[in-house]
Amino acid sequence: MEKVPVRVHFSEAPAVEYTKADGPIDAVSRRLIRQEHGANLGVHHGTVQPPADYSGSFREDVAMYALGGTGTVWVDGQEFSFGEGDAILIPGGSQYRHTVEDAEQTILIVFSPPPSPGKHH
Amino acid sequence: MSAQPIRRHFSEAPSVVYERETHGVAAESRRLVKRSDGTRLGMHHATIEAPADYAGVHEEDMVFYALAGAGTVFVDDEEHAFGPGVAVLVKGGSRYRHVVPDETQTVLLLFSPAPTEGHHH
Repeated sequence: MEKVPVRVHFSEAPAVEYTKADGPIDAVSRRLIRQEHGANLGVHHGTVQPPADYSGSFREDVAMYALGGTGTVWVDGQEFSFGEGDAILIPGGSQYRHTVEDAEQTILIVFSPPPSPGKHH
Repeated sequence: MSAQPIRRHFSEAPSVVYERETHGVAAESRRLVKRSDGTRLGMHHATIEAPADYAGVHEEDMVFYALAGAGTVFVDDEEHAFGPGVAVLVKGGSRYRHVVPDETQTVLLLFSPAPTEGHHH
């Protein structure tokens, strides 16, 4: 098996694109650290285009970190402003919602355990 | 204990300071998400003053993500350029070394499982 590189710049990572043609958002999620790395965590780099409003639930524990832009995150109905330098913990099983109003938001999303590959994070 | 949703800005997060004389590195690590939050992952925001050269081994799987500044990360003696937007995976038990030659480097350290709390990450 080919060795999975342990060092990656986000611009070179495998990307999953989300479009409003088939979902609620225009976004790109780059999978920096994936299940195939065999680690206890997964790391995605996401850019979300405004306006965006999406929600869901993860089985994994998730922490989101805002690299740029501003948005709002709800976790189980609790509202948090979410701007550069903020981290939000979304415990596994809780309901989240993320909205972005004005400018592109760039985020880092950390999962434990790493999520299965696919178009859902 | 089940985890609760949390938002922390790095500037308000509990901080651990490392001094050159005592710890061999001048740095501040802010614990954005930590073990006592009841989660499987840890997220630290760290600023490391240049020049820095420190090394270690963690039991946890860990990802370095560079927010700003340039450095080098070695994983089991394999050298990786480490600048903004780069993620480097250090699996539990691997030896890492982080070198910051010229300017303060700001990084996120992502762990799973969440490390024990104290003066060692």
